[in-house]
Amino acid sequence: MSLEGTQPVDLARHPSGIVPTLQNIVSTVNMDCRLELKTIALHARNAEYNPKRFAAVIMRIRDPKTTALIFASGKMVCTGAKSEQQSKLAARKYARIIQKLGFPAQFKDFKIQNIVGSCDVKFPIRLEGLAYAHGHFSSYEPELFPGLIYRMKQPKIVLLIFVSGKIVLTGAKVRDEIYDAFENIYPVLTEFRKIQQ
Amino acid sequence: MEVCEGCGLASVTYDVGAGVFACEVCGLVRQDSVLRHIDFDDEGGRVGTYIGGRGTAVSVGVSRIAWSSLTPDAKSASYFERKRRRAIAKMKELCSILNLSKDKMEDVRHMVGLVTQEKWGANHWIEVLIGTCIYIVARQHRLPLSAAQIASTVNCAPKDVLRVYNRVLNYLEIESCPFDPIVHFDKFMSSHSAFVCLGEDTLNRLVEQGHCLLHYGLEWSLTSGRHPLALVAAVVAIVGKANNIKVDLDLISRELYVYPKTSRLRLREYFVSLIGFAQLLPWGKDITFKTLTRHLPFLLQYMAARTKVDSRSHVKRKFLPSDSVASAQKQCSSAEDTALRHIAKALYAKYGTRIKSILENQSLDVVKDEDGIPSPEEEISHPLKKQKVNEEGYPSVETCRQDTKLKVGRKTGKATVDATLWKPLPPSFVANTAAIARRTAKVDAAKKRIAAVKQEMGKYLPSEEIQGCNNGMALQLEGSDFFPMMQHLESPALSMEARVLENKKVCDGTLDAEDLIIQYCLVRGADEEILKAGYYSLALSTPPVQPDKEILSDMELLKYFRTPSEVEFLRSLSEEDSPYPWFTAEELELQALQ
Repeated sequence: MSLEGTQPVDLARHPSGIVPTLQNIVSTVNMDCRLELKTIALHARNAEYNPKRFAAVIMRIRDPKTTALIFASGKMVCTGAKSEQQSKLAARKYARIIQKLGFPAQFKDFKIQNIVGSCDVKFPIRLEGLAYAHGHFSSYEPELFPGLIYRMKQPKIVLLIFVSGKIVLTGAKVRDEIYDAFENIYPVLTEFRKIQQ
Repeated sequence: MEVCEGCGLASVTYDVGAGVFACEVCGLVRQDSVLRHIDFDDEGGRVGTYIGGRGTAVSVGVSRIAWSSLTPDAKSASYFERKRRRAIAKMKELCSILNLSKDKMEDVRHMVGLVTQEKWGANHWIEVLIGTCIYIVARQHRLPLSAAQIASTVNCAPKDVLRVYNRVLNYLEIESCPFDPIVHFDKFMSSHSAFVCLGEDTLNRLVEQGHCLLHYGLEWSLTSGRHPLALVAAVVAIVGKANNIKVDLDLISRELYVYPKTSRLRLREYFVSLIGFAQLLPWGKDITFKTLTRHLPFLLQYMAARTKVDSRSHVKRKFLPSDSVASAQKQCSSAEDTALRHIAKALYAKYGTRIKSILENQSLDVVKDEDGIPSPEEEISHPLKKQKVNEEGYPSVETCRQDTKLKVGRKTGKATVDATLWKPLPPSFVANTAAIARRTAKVDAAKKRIAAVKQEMGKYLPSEEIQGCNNGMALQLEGSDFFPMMQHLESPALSMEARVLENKKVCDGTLDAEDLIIQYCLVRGADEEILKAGYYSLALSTPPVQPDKEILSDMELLKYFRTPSEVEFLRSLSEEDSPYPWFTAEELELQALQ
């Protein structure tokens, strides 16, 4: 275990020198069996079930720290993982818990549905200028939301750009889409960099 | 135009500033806004309320007997017609409450018709849609209507209006019009009780100051990513303060439908920027938070004058031929400089006594030698030129100081320190940078502490064991600074929040909970960049997955299941089945004990 700190950045893959950090992975899996949600809620210590509010059991595990929504149809949504492997591992753990409760749970059609990443370009951005110049892709309504919402067409990613230089990228199915989207937007952001005089 | 009741001419228009209908000829304000809400129940009977003074309410519809004799087709057609009529009535009601003129109401009607393909609709969503269309029309015509105000009238959340706003714009392929805070500021100034009693000239001056502050707010990056109405509230408060008018910021915020806390934050940011701006002026070096209120009138007046000059020079530049841009810019800048010197002179004449003492204490030797610029009176004629200037020499000294700075700048080719050039970075960026710097310092300190413990540990271990020693083990040595922290952080029963709270109790005054978390993450080999960015939960997340490791052993699984007694207890509670109970393990234990 080292205390050296940061990993070197692959400049060929990330010419900007900034690698977006993955913050959340949402995945789905089909356990292919009908589930008795009340039984799950009764027997599992880490489960919440309130059918009046939401028709799914909300289950949590600590390692990887994730939350799953388990539906009576046997479908499950796993959120909160920080990497694809963690998400898959967490989903497997949930399936195992369900199996142990006596249901014939399988692990079918695991799919990453959304990846959220974020990074900091470390310079302020002129949102008004960006919104004006890229009007077809962006929506900037400070009355509604402080950030600029940039809908990139290729890859199809939504970026939330804040004046402080923080960027949130969402809507990716694979992590490369996040990286590509950031590398696409970075030159645009430098163009609208706010310079202190 | 509507016919005025006073003079009989068709000259009644909507006054955007005051939000009333008034006659352009005789000035009569229409007081009697009749609010009608006539509705029909499912059987065609008339329900609803009628509020209003003068005027005639006309009900359009069919009587109950006539309704019962209609054929099913006719009834169905009538159903859609009634729905449409009801929605239009609602639209008219909302437009009336929000003081929208007839032509704007027609715009709203047309827009709703387009979106719903003339089918209109029932229920709450049509009201939200109408509200959104009102908002779009208001933005297009620069009317002082905010999303929050409309949402409050429609009885929904502002975010609903704004969410539908984007969808309507996309559907109708309309370009979004920029939000204009100046319109809202003007409306507020003309209608707020603290300002309506002021004379026209005074009010105009105050409005001008407000416009100037809003303009500078844009230059000082205070507006980017900020709720514009919170800025308006802050500007109103500053203008009030500068002119000795008592205004309550909380009250202003509520009237503008913004959180008072946000407005207070914006006010503070404005003050910081004003101080920064003022301190770059030759006479404003001593302006601080404490003295700002005293200098505020002078400062605002100076800024307003400066904005005027700036806008004039912009207009000049606009009409200049392209080939002489360079020379013209030179002329403009010199004209601008001299004009500003005039302004400074005139303002100094007015407020000179306050500034005198400051200038007396500063060395002005260089200034006199450098002053070679022709007298400003000879170059341009300015309205302020005729004002009386203090003869004691202070104004000229003041202008000389400015001239010198400008001249020195031109000679050396270096940028001079000028208040116009002062464009600070956005507060959110500054705060972010400061937070990163703070976390970086904490990371460095944590690294040093860990290194110290490792060194200390090395004394007690044989040399061959030091290499193989795990940092985590080292830090858990009883008696080390990290021992109590490690105990708490590694306790699986504690949530993140609980750990932070526990750590607050555990650690002494020198280290805070954040320090301990950073330390813990570093020991676990977290990436420093992640820690510096403040993503602690990410840093605390599990290390990379080992593919060959068993998913979940039976022993590990045990902790996820309830004991049979717990299940029995829960089952007994859930027999009634309403509402379905949910208890944590702690709550269950407590209940079992009782």
